[in-house]
Amino acid sequence: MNHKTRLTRRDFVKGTAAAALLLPFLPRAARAQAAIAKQAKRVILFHTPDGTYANYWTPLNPSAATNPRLNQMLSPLEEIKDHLTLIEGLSFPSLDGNHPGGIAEALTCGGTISLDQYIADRLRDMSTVTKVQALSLGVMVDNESVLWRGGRPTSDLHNAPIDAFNLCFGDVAGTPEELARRLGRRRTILDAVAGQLSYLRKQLGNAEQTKVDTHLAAIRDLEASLARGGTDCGNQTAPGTLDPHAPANFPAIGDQQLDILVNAMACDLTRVATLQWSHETNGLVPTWADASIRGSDQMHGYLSHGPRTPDQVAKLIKNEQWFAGKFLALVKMLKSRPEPGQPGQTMLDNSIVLWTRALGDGQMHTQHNVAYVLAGTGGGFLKAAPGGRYLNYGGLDQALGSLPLAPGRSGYSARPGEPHQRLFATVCRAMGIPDLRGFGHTGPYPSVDKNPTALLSELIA
Amino acid sequence: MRYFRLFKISLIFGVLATLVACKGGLVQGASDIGNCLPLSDYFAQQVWAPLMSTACVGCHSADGSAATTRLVLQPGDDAATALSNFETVKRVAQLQRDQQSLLVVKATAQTLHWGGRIVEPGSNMAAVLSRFAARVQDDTTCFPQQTAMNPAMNSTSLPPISKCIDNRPAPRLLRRLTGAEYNATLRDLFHAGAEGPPQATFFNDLPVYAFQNNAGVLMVGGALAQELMRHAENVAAWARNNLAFFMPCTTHDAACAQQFVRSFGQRALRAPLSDAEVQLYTALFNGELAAGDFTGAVEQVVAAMLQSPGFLYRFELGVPSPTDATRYNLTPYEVASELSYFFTGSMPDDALFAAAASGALASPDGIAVQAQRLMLGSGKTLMQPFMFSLLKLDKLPNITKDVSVYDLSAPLRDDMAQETGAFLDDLVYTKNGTLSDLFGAENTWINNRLAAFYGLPSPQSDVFVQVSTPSGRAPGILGHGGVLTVNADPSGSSPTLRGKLIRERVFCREILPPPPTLDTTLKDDATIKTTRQRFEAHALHEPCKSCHDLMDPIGFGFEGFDGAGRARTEENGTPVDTRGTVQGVYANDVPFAGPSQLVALIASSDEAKQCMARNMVVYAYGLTTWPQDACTLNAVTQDANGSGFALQQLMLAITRAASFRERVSQ
Repeated sequence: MNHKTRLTRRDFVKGTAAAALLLPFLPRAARAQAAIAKQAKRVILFHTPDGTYANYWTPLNPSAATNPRLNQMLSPLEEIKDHLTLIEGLSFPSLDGNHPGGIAEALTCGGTISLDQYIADRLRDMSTVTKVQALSLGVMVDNESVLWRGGRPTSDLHNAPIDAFNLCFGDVAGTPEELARRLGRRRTILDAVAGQLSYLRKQLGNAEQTKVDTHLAAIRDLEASLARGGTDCGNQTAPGTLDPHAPANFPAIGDQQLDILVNAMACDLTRVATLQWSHETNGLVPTWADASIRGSDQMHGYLSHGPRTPDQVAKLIKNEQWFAGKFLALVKMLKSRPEPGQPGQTMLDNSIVLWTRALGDGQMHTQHNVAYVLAGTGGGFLKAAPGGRYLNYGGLDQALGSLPLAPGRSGYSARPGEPHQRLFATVCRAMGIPDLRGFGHTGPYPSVDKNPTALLSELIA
Repeated sequence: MRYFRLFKISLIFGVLATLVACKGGLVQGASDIGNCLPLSDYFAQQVWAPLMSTACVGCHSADGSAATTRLVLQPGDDAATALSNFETVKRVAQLQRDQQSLLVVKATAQTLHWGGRIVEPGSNMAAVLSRFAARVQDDTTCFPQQTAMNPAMNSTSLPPISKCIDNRPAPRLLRRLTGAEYNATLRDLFHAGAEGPPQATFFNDLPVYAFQNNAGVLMVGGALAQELMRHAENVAAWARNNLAFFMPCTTHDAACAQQFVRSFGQRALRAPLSDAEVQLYTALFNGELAAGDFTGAVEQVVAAMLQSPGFLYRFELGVPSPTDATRYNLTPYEVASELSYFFTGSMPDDALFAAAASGALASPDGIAVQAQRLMLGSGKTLMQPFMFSLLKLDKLPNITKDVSVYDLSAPLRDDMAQETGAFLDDLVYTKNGTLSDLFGAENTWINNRLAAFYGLPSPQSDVFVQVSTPSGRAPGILGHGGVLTVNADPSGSSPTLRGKLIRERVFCREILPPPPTLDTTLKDDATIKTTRQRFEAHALHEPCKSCHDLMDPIGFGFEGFDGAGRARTEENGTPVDTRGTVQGVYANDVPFAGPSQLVALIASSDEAKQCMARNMVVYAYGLTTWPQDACTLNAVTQDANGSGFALQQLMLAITRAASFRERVSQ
């Protein structure tokens, strides 16, 4: 049952060589499409909680489409600016979704499956199979995952680096005889399990069938991944056993997860990865972001919710800068690694790193104007410009005057922008996925007649 | 369209407006929030004041011409009178005539009414009466009904209660083992105790509402299948070297292989193997035997069984009922697992398997015998994890505190957890205590270190000993340092968090999250000395007031305890004030003076009993996506009430309910 997925790298190159010959005659999108096939693409989602504050995020020269002057929250990204596209003004389907709407839609766009899981599934359907089809990492995500499958948040996410490490690098080694024998035993068992699940499925109603289908799909992924065979990833150092729930370990756990993520991608064990930093309204006090941060007014949720006194805003900026520093570290790691088999290229060249959020303004609790940072071109599909790029898709969410606001929101100005699904559609296309079948919101967006499946052409090279 | 979307989102997260939400109604998009006032308020404001207090009470009073009818009202236009008439009018509204409420057909004179037509059919007032009658008959009309088909998850709220129509049990379910259940099951499966196989660490079961055992989210998706495969292999490799713990025979021949497949298989899959399964595992065994040796074949079969759906899921599927086409009766083996995971968090023991095999579990009496045994057996693992999740105590080891204010060391946090653990074990299992005792007990457990931290006289013991509730501390579990610590801010107490805990988890009343576009911060200035003064700013104006009135005045009762649960009498030189009110739970606001009065109120409260029953039913059935069956809840509550609501009886009542043994198809 695995022969369809047994596509070797050589087959892959053969197929794409033919496509490359046609290159000059194809329209732009198709050319970009053909470029994708040349080299494995990767996507990494980097998710942080509780929205942001546009006053300190929007570039200081907002009318300029290129070479943005970075505002304070993004100032750590200065040294990788050439690789960045800053995007503002995108909206979720539930514009006033508060935290629940944000969590439900941040990566699903109102559908049943999150972007990472969706891309992983589509890649598998296109015979791109890796050991870990979607690598889901967390840093103290003990609630409210933004990773969804089948309309439910998935618990298939690793907070403990050692578990993530074992998942990725656990059993890639062994003599050929050992590996062959183990492969045979595993296939026999997985076939048996798949048979049991299929039998069970017939006895169930729809809701529980979904559960069995999810399990069957996971078994299918696993079989395909086994068929692909082991990969020698060299000597990998296990991350040790830091308590993944002790708040003081937040920075160390984050660094370990980033290492595992990049190492797994370097060895092509996965092409789709997510790192979710904690969760909405978490009670963490980000003392690691600045020594001045302590106490109940500085919990991350409180920092983003207000009050927007100079002192609190300064601390919020520090916290966002800390996350920006981790984004920087991730991009730099990808940039420092040569692309295997592609002289002169780095891993970043063939990657898309996207910083996502579940809220626009952290104080307003709305999704009118959600901010994204994009790095990497996905093998040249996405446009880059010296000094970076800035795009604003029209969403606005702004408090005017003093808070708190009375009901009816006088003093509050909001306007929906383009659907954030369009950004995800563009990322999917960059990954070689031709359409958005089965993903996100279908039909026009509520209250604004916008097509959520159209690509953001400004992003495309 | 947009409102539809909001509606859908609220469906997804169960921001269910009914359960009293915010009194005023600030929820954008919920156009009929006024209709969803608490029913008694709705009656007082919309029915009694504008209509009945003037148009009906003249005749429908004790000395009026309608004094012999079913509707005899107290005259008066104040809120108290409205409430005294509420029950009377409800009873009439429940009566049906021509498929309408009697209240409506009488007022509109669609049936004989000596008083004539008081309300025009089709008028606004007729609509109000119909609405009132509809809510009397089914108060779920204020929130969207969730069904098993709705895959959306409700992460923060209790599921709604369905109307009690036909004892509708939960749908047929597959319940994937939680990480804790998986590890406990492996420990017991091999009879190896502490020397058992390696434990899994890779589960990350996210809580839904309060509990991690929600059947809706527990799945085997993505990488979990791979990890389960590898862990099964590791356990099987361990098993190969530890045959003595679990092998039924030592002969290493075909007969022994058969015996192993059948007996170990029945334990691993928690039911006798079907012929097809016996064949499957025998073939696996023989295939591996041909390539290797007997122990290798055992290893392969163990690895296969641990990945099978029969091991990874608790089946609650049942067989079609011979008497009711809509029902499925759980099999005795399914009931055995249901009992054992509920009471012990692990697989059935030998006696329970024997009861399933003998048919004893086919009868309610047989279930009762086993339930009683398991509840008081060596496992006794139900009450602590349940209560720790419910009261958020499971956050205690890792909750962030500002170390410059509360330097809570790990041993001290552990002591706090042990205080509550010892209290619960003693109360529930030794003293057969009641819900009133849980909230109002005048004793607790303490050791030297915790006493020193609380500033209490030393009990002269490093191990926990029972003491009478010391002066200055509150009775019952809500006064425990751990509960007060996790429901507080990092550097202070929090009347909001403590009030929210009691409102949501003790009274089962919903609180909506703050509406968007709202600054949720409290202003601070030099005149403010106490936490209470700071939080009282919530009550000064809308939009904060309507929701915070439902939380903060409850939480004020515990202002005599700081953010780490230590007693205090003043803040910044100003005496703390522990007076408060419980609003929006009872028909009237109930004032209290201090924590003892508050916990006494809770301890004697029917609302708290119903709520505890709801919570434990959710925990027992792993639900949040289906409406809770009102018939089951009523039955469980009444059953437990028969014993003065002893917590043991509550646990047993759940196993006695009809829905413990039945399922419906969806």
